[in-house]
Amino acid sequence: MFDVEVRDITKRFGRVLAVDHVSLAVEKGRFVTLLGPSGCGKTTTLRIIGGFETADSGSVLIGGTAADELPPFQRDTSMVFQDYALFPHMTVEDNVAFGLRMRHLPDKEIRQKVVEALDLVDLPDVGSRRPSQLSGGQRQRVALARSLVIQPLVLLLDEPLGALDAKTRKQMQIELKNLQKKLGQTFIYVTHDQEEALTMSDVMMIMNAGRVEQVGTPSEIYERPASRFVADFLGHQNLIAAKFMGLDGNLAVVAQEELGQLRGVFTSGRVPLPGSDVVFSVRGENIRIGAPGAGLVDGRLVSRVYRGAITRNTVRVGSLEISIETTGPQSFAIGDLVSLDWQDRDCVVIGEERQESGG
Amino acid sequence: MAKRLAPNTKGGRPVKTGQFLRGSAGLWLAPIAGWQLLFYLAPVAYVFLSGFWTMKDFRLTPSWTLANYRQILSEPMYYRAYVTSLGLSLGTVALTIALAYPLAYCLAFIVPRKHRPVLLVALIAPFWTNYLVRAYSWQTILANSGVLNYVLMALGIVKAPVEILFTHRATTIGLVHYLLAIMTLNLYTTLENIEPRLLEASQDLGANRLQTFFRVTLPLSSGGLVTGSMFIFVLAFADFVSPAVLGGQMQRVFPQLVVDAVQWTVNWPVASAFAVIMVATILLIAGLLGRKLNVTGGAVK
Repeated sequence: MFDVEVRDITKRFGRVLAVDHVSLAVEKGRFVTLLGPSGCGKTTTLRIIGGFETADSGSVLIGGTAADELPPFQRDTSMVFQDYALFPHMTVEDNVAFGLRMRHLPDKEIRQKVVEALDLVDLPDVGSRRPSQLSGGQRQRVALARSLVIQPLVLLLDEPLGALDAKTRKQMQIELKNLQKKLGQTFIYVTHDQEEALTMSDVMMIMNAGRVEQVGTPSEIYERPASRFVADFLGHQNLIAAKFMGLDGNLAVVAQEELGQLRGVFTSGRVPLPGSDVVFSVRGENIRIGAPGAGLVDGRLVSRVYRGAITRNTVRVGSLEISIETTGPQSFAIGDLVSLDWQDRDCVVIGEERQESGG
Repeated sequence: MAKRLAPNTKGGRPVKTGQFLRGSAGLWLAPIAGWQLLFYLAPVAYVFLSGFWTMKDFRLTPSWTLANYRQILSEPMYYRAYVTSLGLSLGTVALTIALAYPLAYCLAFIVPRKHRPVLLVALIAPFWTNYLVRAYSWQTILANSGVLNYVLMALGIVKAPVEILFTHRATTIGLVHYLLAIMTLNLYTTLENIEPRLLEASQDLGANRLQTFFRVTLPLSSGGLVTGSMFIFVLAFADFVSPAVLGGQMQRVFPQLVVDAVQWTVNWPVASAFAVIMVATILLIAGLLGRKLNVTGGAVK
């Protein structure tokens, strides 16, 4: 049985199709991330699960029972909002105790649970303060404690780290993930930050224009993007148009004007007809730069951007510009002729854009 | 020429605009401060002082006597008027809250945003009608032979006309009608400023709609309730139009005594003493409400 099952939901706002036939099944204890650009329908999907929006069609099951008719206060879910949504007129303690009071627990038990919850999020000493007296990171923790303390079946998180500075965000990512593992709590997490999603998730669902593009583990999604959109969104820089030739074992063979014959893992379900358009992708960190003639193809190093841990090089091969990420000292100068080399298994071949997702 | 090119320099050094503004805050406040001093504080001080003066040969004569206050405090009629005024204004506050809260709530949470401007204008429109005219038009509605009693009797709800006009029931109706928009607008702005996510969070944590209202919406709107109540109390307590036009002359209210003292008995020191007592009452109520505001934290964003 799944903690949450979303079955083919669709939601329109006026003429905008926000969620378009989305299905999702979340197993107990999993950290599932809905990832996509703003307006892709991820937050709407989350709000439908939480009961804040009603789907036009399809249904949502929580803990195995249909929840479509249930208002938020009767669902076994709890939401951590992007802007925290802490009650400004209550102390931190009262905020955390809110859900417990609604469940009519004895005062003594409430006090004990509130203390435990604040300990859990590492905020033992702020109970008597008002939310306005806390930092962004602290407010986020209080919001988390407030939702966790009622022990929901599923915790829903709507870009909870979106308003934090980069450093606090990185730290909270780790803490949140550890907390989730420790509690075995099912998380459904919405973000537009691919790095955040890759860091934290057990399962990622990539959304675009209301539709599901791909579902998989972070490494599956990152290394084997099934659509051009997913590859692009996850930062694949070298998306090169090519023609499909055929299959060679489990590798796809493609022809590219400048690069010749290339091989890569075929990631999109249906095998295209020979001669159809496909996208060949090799990630910058998988390309090695060497002396001319020593690799698969030769080109000229045209620019270099130093970015700290890595250096981003651009090599021009005919009319193509290929990005290569290198680390450590650079052995070539701008203007040099260099060769590029990569492994076939590090490359992917993505079938042409699904026609139905074009709209 | 050089000066025009660099207006923000002082002795050759650049002066930050912020510093410039702060340094001369007094200068910027001078016009309004002068206005307030001349047309508000000075008259108030004059009223306060003249409350201790006496009338001699129909002339206002400076002195230092408590006789005016003693006269007021020893006269049961004045005391009754004070209590009537207090009751009337507190009742008006309670009634406007009872009527304005649902109205403002509906406007802020139920009416779609695009329809609100029309409704808000409809709410404010009566304000464009002269208050006196409005008070007199209530006479035609509330009189024994007025519209209301005609309808009530025609429907067989009452046999004899209900006596409303020239009682303080009519005064209250007039005041509520006069002040309802102020309370509604006050409440509407605070309710509209409540973050919708807070109401969602409340429901998410298990509070139903009623619990959400009492635990989140109502406390968060206490700021509007308190400022609205202050406005209503001050205006109702000092009003003499509704009591005079609708309430009749039988049970006089405090502001009417001030008018009487100025116009009929021409005893300005007594009028001043009345006024001082009214101001003190208003300050007291405002202080109590203000403390409530701090305690509930209604003003805390």
